[in-house]
Amino acid sequence: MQFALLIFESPEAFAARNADDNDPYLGAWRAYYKTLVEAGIYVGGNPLQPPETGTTVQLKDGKRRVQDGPFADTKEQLGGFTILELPSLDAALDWAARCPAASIGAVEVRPVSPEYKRRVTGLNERR
Amino acid sequence: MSGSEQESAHRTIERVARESYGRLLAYLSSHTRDVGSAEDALSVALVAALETWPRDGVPQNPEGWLLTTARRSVIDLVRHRRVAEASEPTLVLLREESKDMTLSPEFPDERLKLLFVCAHPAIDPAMHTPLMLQTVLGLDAARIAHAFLISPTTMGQRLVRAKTKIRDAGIRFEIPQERELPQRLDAVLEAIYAAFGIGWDDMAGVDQRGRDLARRRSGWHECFCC
Repeated sequence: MQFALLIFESPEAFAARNADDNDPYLGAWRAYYKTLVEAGIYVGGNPLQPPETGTTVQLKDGKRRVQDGPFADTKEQLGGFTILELPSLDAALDWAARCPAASIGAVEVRPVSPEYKRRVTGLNERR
Repeated sequence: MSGSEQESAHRTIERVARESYGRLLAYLSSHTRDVGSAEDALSVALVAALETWPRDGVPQNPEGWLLTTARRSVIDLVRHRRVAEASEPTLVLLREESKDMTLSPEFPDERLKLLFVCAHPAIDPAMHTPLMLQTVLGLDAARIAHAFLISPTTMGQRLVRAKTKIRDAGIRFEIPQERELPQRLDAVLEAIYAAFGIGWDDMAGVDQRGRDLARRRSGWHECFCC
């Protein structure tokens, strides 16, 4: 069975990404990542850019509603995530609008952060 | 150099800054998709012009001189930020294009793309007009804040936030596809209309800033005639 850990962070935790390599929070993430890999249970994962970079797409009566900012949840709850390789935000918004959840809930588009992942894992992955 | 020649150098800098700011910024940021860095680089180039032109004379192609200087500065700024991996294509592109622009007077006008970026649906609609005023017409945050009746600090923060979003969210500098064009064009026109309104409203008063906004309206016209 695979499980997804959905990670929620405070503004302070997001801000810690701009700190130097000795930041304790970043250090804790490195140690945690190492433990997951060593335990042989790590499948994959990605840090996301901060919430301000998010854009939310909803389909209302077939019309696309695009809003600046992360999805402010009401009764809808996070139901999953998909990672796509695309050239631009506009392409991502197109695919988000086609997602079935866009017409009954909302889909937030947020870039992943390869830079922060590199700092945690120490690996230089090619995109 | 004589006093009058120095004065003429200053006048040239002022004219180029007013007339070409938007074109230079649009061209620089269309490559990096980073409006903030492009603004910083252009400021560096303008300061360099203020230092060297009165001393050595105005270059034959002032816009090209500013562009070459600003581009070098963009490369430094981007390299300085720790976004090595993400900005690699930018650096390659800038290096490929690093031919001396001081001799060729032509560079593409990317202002229309910049307008579409400023009025992108992923940007808070309230910021469409302020972004255009700053990036295309080169008005400073304090002046824009005055027109929108909010504090310069708040306007400055919102502008920075919007530009960070442009950089990090993956918004491309391009003319939208045909099926999206009507809606996207409406957003651009609405924001331009608001900018006009601000210029004319302030014209009624004695405020120099408002008059300046209105005077710069010809900048919009140019963008759509390109």
